[in-house]
Amino acid sequence: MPLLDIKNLTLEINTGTQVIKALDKINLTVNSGEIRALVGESGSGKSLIVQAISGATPPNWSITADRMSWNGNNLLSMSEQKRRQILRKDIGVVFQHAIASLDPSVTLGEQLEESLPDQLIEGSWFWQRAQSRRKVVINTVHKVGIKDHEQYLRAYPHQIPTDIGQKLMLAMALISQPKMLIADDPTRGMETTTKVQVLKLLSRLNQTRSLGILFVSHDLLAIASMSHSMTVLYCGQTVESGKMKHIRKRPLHPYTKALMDSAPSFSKDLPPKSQLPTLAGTIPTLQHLPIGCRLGPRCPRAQRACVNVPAVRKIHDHSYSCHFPLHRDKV
Amino acid sequence: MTKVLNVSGLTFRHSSKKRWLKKPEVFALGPIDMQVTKGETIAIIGQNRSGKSLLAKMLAGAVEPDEGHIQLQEERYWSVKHRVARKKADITGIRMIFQHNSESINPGITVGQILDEPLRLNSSMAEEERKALIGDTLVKVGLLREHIYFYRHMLSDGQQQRVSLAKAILPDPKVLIADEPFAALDPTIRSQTVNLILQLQKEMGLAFIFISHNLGIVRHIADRVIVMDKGQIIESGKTETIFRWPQHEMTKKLVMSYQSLIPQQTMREPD
Repeated sequence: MPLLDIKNLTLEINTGTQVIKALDKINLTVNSGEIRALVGESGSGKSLIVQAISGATPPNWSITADRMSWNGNNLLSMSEQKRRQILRKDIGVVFQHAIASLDPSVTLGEQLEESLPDQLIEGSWFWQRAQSRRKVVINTVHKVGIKDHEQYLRAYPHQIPTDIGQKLMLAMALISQPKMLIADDPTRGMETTTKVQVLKLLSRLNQTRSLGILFVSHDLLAIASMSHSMTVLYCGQTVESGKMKHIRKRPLHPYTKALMDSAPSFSKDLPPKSQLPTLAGTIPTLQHLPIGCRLGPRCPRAQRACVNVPAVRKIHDHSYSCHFPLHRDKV
Repeated sequence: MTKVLNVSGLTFRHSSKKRWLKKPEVFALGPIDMQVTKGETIAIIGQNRSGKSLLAKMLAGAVEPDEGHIQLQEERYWSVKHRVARKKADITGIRMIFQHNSESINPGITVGQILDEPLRLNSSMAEEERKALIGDTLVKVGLLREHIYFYRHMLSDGQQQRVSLAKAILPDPKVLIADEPFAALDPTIRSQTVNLILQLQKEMGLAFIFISHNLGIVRHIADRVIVMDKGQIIESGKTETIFRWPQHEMTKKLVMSYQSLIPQQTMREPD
């Protein structure tokens, strides 16, 4: 039973002069107890998906989907209030820019206490409840790897370094004990030891509490070490999705291959200081998206057929959308 | 092997005075000694707040050191005892790329003007010469000559990175310093930049000193690695040596956490 099930999600942004299809028929499922990685470069719409799920959308966006359900309940048709309840109770979200998404006028400790739901606090008298609240907050902060809680809980967001901010954001998402965590680039810019700490924490929570995680990132090394399955996005189109080990062993889409190649750690027999294989060109902006397969102009295997959007094809549970996938020879 | 850069006894001290109930804050960097040879790539790694960025800024001359001197090819580049004005030619010997390349490009003027500025101020070239050089440099970093008419917002991330690279290599420096040049870039653009830097190094014989958290790339392009902690160099040596036989606790921790991320089959290497 999938926790989160999204089929054919399309997001259109109305800029006043034109309507841009920022997400084009995205499919995504997260099962309970699964770590699903969502990979893509900037401008691929990863964060748009996170925003669409969390419902934090500006009025000029229109979201349509064949199915977008949480635990069997349709997220799109339910009332605002109900949706907010689900988000409050069951889904924890770590937003991309940690320090910018914290409240600048309140101390971090107060913010954490505020996001702690009432049912997790013990005691019946106010002093007992305050004590227990404080205790839970300190425990959570320790869990995400901040040792010096005295200093940081009293601080305001502008006083803390970025990596602490990211960890606190994670603590804030985890403090309500959600069923699923959506983490939008939680390890961006972290140095390796801290990153490994955070990744370990996430996999541990996944194993002990069977927390479903949607891990949004473009750090393939981090993703490969912890996630079970992966969905690759390019410019708002799903390119390939399937089990992590299948994709790593044999990527079918040229873009996935290029992403894998971009991390030198994956290819062991690469001589040092050699040129890395990469795609030519740059990521198109939302205003100038190519028609058909959006990878078209950068793809080494592109042919005339690529001006049409390729249909999704499946080999067992490994799906891809490409006219000329890598396991077939060039026609 | 010709020595390009010779740094000895470089020290920086920061201390805020003790005030009411406020503990004095002391941060000391160095003394740092290092030698860089022509065409060499050196990576500086270490945890946050270990003084990596400060060292880079000191090498580039953005921050004044308290002690020590930097020698660039026989000429004294910076020294505390001799506060002689640096010769104009020297200023262009060491160039730096900053971390947030989009923020280090002036949004109000065109790329051509941005690239013209360091040349106009530091060299006696005529306008035509400067224009030709700018055009050539743009082509060298993989852009078009027409890009001189572009403003920052018209360029993509990768192109902005190329512009800051062009800005850095324009006066034909000997040493290029970069603070996290790859952190903010997307994977495919990052590979393009790595390729470009490798190629430029081959062509121009640049020495390249960079700071990075991405140990995969460090391992791929660096000849030597310097590990820093609390303002000190705690270990330095050949890249392979550091990655295979780390000596210091901190280095071990860094390398171990990197190894734990990479897939199993690459870990079982025949030694």
